[in-house]
Amino acid sequence: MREEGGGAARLILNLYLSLFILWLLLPVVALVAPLLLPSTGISADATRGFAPQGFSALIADPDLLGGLLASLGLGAAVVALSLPLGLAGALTIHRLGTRASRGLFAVLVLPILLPGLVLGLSTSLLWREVGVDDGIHLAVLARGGQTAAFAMLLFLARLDRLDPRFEEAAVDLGASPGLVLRRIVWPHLAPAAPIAALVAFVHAFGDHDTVALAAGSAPTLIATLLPRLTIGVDPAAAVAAAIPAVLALAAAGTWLLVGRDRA
Amino acid sequence: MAEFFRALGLRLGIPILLLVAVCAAVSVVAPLATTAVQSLRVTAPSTVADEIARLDEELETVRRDWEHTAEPERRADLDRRTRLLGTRLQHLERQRTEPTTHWSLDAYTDLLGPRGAVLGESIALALAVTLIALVVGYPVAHAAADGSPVRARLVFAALLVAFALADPLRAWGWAATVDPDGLLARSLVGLGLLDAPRALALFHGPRTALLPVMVYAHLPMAVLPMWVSLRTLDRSLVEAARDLGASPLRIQTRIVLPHALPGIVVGAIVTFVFAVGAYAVPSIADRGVDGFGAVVWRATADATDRTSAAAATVVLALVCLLAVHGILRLFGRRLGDVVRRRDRHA
Repeated sequence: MREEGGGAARLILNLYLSLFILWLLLPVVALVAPLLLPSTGISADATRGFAPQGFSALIADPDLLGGLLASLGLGAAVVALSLPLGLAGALTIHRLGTRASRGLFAVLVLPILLPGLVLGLSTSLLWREVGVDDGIHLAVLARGGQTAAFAMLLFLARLDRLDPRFEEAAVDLGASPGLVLRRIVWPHLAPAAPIAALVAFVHAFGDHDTVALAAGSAPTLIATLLPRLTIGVDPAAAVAAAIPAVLALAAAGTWLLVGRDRA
Repeated sequence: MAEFFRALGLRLGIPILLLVAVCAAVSVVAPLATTAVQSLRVTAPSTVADEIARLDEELETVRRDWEHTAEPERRADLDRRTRLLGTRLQHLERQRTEPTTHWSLDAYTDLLGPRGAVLGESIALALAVTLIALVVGYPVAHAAADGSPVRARLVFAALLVAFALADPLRAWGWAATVDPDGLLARSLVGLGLLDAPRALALFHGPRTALLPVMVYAHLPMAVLPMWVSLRTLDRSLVEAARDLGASPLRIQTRIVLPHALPGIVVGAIVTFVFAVGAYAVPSIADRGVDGFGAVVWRATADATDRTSAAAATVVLALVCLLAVHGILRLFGRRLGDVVRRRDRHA
């Protein structure tokens, strides 16, 4: 599409976009800076750099290290749980008649229409009633339900674009439902899977509100970091906060590489 | 239902349907139902239990006194008190009952006072955040979906980085950037553009910090749905309108904006929901400001009182559902239509 308006309008738009990109990325740079530069970033000590001391401090810090490992495990578990559930949900909604699916659809997307606190606390209350204590396993459930809804929408968007004639033709030629699913539906959905997985992992890894309420006293990285970010000079915390930022840069890079024009 | 089983067969259809039903029940319906029930159930500890606890404590002090004294007269006195307390405790133990529960709306009426005002403020803040994020983000979504490919890719990449970073950290990054001792101030002073870093204190003061941080943290949720909608805009429509002499403004209001509407609706819903119930983001920006998310959060900190935490959660959920309903009504859309976007493959 050609640019609308004249040169002045284009200049203003480009200036606006440049400022916007700067505004969007500066905080990410601020998070990563303690890794690279000696004296910038989060309340750094001007006299010495963070990075080497920060890393050794992080490794020597059982709270942060434990939180980091817990968050990595949480992210992986949420991916493993939410992708199959999202896929099953999408297939069901896609195939049920409009009237039957409307109610089910509303229930299945509910987790993304409610704040994380609501889901986290509700999950915790339900399982406490049954006698299961808070912990990472409940955080996986609460966050997994939320991410499954998101994955379902991604899969549904692709399913809705699948030409039904392919499936009909395959059935006419005698293909079983399993074969149709494997050879026609899944190849059409597969490109959305890495993106759904990436989003599921990154957001479970960095989430606070849903996870912290269901996880109780089990430490995740963000829950451990949050009170320490406000304290000030804390090299270990600065390095720990830089890890998700690096992860976000990597995730965005991966998305741009593998996910071009997908999902 | 018939079509479902025809397409998937019984061997695949039954497990898939079961999986979805169990998932919906366990992760959505049962937790919310439990919360709703608990918000109405008040547990009253029996008064006898309190009395027993008090006497137990007294007995313990008497024992400690006994150990610390060597006078036979004082010890005899304490022995007598121990016996008295013992019989009274035995008597009470026989009357001891389980704590009683009853139904009540107390937890909700408790929310009407100052905490109700906090809810109002949170809703107002979330509305402001939603509106600003949509307005600020619309040209960006437009540029990421359209126009020069290089520019579109740059804008989209920046959006992705922001989206891939979870919101509490995004908020913290912003706070660290505008900190008088942070990245932006140091850079500006270094470039000679700013005399003293304190000039940035505006973004760092009480209350003034909250709105920018909230907008910043929730911006990708507002922009990405609009981008998804705008990406499917048929450019030949815009070309045709321009060839027929339509002004840029008219093209926007008659072609582009209507096409972006499903994305705007989704963006508004998601941004509002995230903003109204956020705890971590405002607590990072928080310099004396309190959101309703913090009310819920603090209520959960008291493990013995599940009722008020549950009630606050139910109120928050209802506010969100009402907002979703309101936004959909405002734009005259159905939930399934805006989130599923079936218009795309037509």
